[in-house]
Amino acid sequence: MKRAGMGILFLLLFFPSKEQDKQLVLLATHRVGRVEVFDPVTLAPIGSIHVLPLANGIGSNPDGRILYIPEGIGPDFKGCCALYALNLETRRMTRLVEPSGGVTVSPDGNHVLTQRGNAGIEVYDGRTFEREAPVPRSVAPGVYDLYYSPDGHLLFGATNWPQPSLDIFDFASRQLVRKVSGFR
Amino acid sequence: MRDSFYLYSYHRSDGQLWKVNSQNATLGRPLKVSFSDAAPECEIHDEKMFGVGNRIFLYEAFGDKGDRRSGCKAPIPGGVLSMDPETGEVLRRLANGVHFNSLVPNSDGKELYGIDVRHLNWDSIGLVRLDTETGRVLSKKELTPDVWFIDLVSMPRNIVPHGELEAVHD
Repeated sequence: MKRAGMGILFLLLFFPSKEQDKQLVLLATHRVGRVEVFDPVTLAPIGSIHVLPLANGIGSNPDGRILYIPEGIGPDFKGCCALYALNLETRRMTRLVEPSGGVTVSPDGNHVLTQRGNAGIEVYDGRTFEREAPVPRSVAPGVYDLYYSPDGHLLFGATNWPQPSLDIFDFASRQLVRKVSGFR
Repeated sequence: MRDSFYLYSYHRSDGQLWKVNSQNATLGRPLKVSFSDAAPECEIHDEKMFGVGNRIFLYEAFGDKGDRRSGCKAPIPGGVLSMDPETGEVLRRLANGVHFNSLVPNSDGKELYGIDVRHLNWDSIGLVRLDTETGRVLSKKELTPDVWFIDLVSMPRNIVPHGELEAVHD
């Protein structure tokens, strides 16, 4: 079968911040192990945080206080491919899980999702980083691109494996509510 | 539009776009999306899409394992398509000369930020800010040779990192 690609999207809701003390920045992570901070208009550098080597992505919680960074190497130069949370107030990095894939954050920032292959969807508390009840493999058998609905109630998982499908989960109950398939 | 969900699939340069009803497991008829391709003899392996405002943006991603510039004799254009999600019509093709690995929109979708991977081995990298109406490059910056990932974040002003800082590990 020819490779097929797919994506599910929801149109992003952006609410203007009522907080006057917010600042928009462009973050750029690179493999050397730094998070660079740029002015979003001029692209001039503002700052830089040395994290860990082989940084492999970046995400954030909605209030911008926590960054999520998949890393290739740990601080002890052991292991691979862990997901870290970086608290920008303390600059402390906390390892959530190893190994991990990409990261998806709920719209309210309370939940952080990742996958370790087709082993279900792992869920972490976005404040304490404690592990929560996962979406088990029996419910979520694929390796997904994951997207929340804007209200956080639904979780959309697009996968090409084991066959192309869009799996729609009720996040609170961790149950599959719809499986849309039959396309390629 | 705000609570609308879309599914996109592609095979070569033929794309299909569905509006998804979360209450219904059956998809309706898809909208056809033509991803105009100057090098159809070299199959597209990696397309990415996202939505913001009232537009869907679709682009071929470069710099990963599926980068078809490897082994293709024909020049491969870059750029990003701006689409009407109600019709599937491609409204504009922006920044043809830029080979994006990733793109992120600003809040109203009038600007995009992208990582331009000019060569397969990531030895020539640009950071680009783009106007989605005109395709004009508003700002650009050379980045050091490396693999880069970007995100646009609104954060409390008092914790914006300034200068060179070190993270602390647990």
